[in-house]
Amino acid sequence: MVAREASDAGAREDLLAQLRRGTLQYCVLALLRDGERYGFDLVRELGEVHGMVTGEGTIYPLLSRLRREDLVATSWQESETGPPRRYYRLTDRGARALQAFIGEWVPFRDAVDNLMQPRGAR
Amino acid sequence: MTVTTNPLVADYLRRLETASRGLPKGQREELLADIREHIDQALGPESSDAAVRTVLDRLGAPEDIAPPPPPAARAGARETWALIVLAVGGIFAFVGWFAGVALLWTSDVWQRRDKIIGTLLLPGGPGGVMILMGLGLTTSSTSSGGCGHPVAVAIPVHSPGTSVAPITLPPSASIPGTVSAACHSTSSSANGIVLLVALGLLVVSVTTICYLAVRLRRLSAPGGPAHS
Repeated sequence: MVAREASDAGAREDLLAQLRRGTLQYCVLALLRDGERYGFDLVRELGEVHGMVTGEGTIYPLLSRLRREDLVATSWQESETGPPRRYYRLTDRGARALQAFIGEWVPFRDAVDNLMQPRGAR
Repeated sequence: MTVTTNPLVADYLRRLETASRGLPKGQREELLADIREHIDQALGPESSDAAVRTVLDRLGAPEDIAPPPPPAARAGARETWALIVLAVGGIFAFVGWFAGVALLWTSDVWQRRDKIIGTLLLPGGPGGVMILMGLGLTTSSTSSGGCGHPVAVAIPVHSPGTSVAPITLPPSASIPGTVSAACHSTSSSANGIVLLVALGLLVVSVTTICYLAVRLRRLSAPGGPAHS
């Protein structure tokens, strides 16, 4: 029984991982839409969204990749309370990518939601 | 960086360092710096072990954070042909070697450093070096063929009334030790130098091919490339 539960949990995790794969980076971009944010805050907020991350640490490689792809840019800002902190912001390219994603995501999400409705309700 | 004095944190970071071995150096350092900064911000200098553990748990296992190395590109036909053409392509007036270079650079298996070494050491590859050897030996032997030509030497002839007449001497004539021997030693030392240099270049270029082959084996082994 325990083994069955464990494998179920594993399957659920795999499923979530698949769903995340296409969308997580756009969630990051969306969080930056309204302005610059500290890396730390970004990570904390994402970490609180259900199913978004397995561990907060996994967001850092993603941020690094987004930086390399010029979708986000970072700057260091002095802080009174310690070492300089890293700020992230959306680049123009990132903003365009986010728009493109939204354009595809909304109809797609609606279509999937629709299919998921029980037959009679459609 | 005060929090890294905490042994739990230090241990975590060590594990992260190990897990991120598969990353290119710059990315790896970035990741380590980001995680250190995160830990610094999440914890004050005087944090209890419980607080530290919570933060580290939220971060997740280091093995999950460091992305697995990309699937190792398998060495295939392209890489085999690259090695062959780099080795012998230079024989076909260098053009063949350029084809080898194209194959080298379009491969996914070798890393940039390997590709640079493969191109610069040596242009032409072993094939090209051998062509140059052949050319070098031919030209130095034609210049040493100057020794086969008659040498004009003016020798004053002592007889009253007659003018000085140049006498040509065949090279085999015995003015021992001077003309022919000097000519002979320059040709053999020139040949010798050319040969040594050419052999040296050949060794270098063959070593490069071997290096590429070794790198191929290491990079396409299961488990993926490990960046140094």
